[in-house]
Amino acid sequence: MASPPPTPPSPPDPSPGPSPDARTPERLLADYRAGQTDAFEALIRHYQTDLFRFLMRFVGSASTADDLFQETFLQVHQSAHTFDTTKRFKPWLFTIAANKARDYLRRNKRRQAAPLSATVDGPAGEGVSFVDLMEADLTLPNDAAQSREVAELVRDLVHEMPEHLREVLDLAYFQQMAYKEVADVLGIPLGTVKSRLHAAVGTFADLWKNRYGQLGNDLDDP
Amino acid sequence: MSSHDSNPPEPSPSSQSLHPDDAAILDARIAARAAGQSTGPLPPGSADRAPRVDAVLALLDQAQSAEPAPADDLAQRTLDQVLQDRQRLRFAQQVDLFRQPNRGLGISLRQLLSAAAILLIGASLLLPVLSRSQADAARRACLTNLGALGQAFSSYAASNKDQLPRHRTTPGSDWYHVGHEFNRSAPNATVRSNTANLFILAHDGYTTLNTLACPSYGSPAGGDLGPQATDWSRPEQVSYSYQNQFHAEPVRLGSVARMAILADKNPLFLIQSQTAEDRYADRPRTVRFRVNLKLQRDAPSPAHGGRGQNVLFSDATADWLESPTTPTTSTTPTASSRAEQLDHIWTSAASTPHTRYTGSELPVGPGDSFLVP
Repeated sequence: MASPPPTPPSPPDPSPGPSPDARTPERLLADYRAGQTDAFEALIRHYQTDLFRFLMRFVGSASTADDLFQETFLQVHQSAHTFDTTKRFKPWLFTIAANKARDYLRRNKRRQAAPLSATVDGPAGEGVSFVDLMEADLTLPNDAAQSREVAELVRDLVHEMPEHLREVLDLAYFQQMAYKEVADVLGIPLGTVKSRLHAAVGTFADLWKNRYGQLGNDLDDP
Repeated sequence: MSSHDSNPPEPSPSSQSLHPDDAAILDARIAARAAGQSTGPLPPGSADRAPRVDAVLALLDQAQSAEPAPADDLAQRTLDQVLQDRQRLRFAQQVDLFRQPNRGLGISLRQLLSAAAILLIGASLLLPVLSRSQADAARRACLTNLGALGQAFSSYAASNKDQLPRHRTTPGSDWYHVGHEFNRSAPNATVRSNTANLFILAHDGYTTLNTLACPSYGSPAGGDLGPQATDWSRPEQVSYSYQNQFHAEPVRLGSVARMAILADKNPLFLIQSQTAEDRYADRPRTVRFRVNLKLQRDAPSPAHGGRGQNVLFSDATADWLESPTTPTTSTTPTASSRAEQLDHIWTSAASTPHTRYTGSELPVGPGDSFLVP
């Protein structure tokens, strides 16, 4: 019987949380399955900031994200025996988290910020307009106080985006997952991931320009 | 659509996409980030457009700095839940094993029950011992911390007119608002937290936040030492109670006989962030002050199982005291303290068993130990 292919090398996880354990996440889960409790603690601490913020962006509430974070890792613990250690752990973890978040939103009957449109997932040209970034004037502030204000505006704008665009933006950009991994996490075709991400970035740029383009100009004023 | 048009209609969020050239650059950037690279190859001829795409992505990067971090204890609470679930599962498996008939284990039910009883008795004897040794280790580590803090106080006093750390405080102000922000350099700043006085030691580099965290609490030291920081963010981060610095006269180490200046947390006053949501606020919106009416003033600190408290004295020595009392050194002792010859470190010498605390009480003088919050 052929041995399973080796685990693909994980790109460095950009998790800002403390991670003194040198083991990969896949190794940590395998060690946990072998009985090492400290490995599971290391996994939790490795992902706590990234996963918490992902859930926060998904459900819009820090206390809910706190609860869902715990539920996610409880599920990871209960399903640890099903994880294929030849695959990457992060997409599997975020799949569980995304499902938990969606279940929460469904239970609480949260509506989309804007109606779903089939056109964003369809071929280009079918009712989709393009945002040309060469026309955008997106000036970044120079000092820390303005940076803080801008950061909050950006965060709020991302929160306003439709859920189906926000989740792709979160996974592909903020969580730095490959398109294929995002497709696996969300259970959608790879082409849909691309088109939604393009729509997400284009929508963000256009909303920012229309709402705060003046802000960028003011910052340049003496 | 010009950004200078008045009230331009907002685009429908679901009907926008990128110019195909911008989309190709975005795909290249995403692929590079997924591979762990800051930059990567771009499509040919995209040099002009790439900065614009990068400008949008740089804006998006700003979002993360505005997002809250998880609570300090989230990882520990999560781990606790998982471990509880493991225990439940193991117990359920044991029950299932016990229930199944004709398992052919090779031992009788009587032998199994006997073995279980022996294990149970052994565990009930061993667990307290293990638990006690862990608690003793934490208590000794805490005492070591206080010893180090004694040196820190001495160093601070040597550079600051022999005084203990304190801001300009107003007698009669509340002293329990942990996390209350103020401008340290403003002459008329309103200080409403006694822990802000203790925080000076860490902020000015005489000690670390880790040393100011009692090991018995288990979680890592909280607090932030940024240039604008003046205090811990919330009362749950504070481990030790410090000599009340709201008296008009500062404590000068050379002028007082041996008095308690720092100890494990005062059990009489319960100071908490007001709501669970405050856990995720930058600063708790309100801090609640309550008196623990179930306790007498000689109750021990809860930090070490209620068996006593570690205390740091003004001569930089630290001791374990089973009772929170020391020989009185007050320059203006009251009748009760004179009679008892004891200074209760949790209360002002002016207080009586009937005193109704409000969180603004003062020591009677520089020599009266009154450790808060």
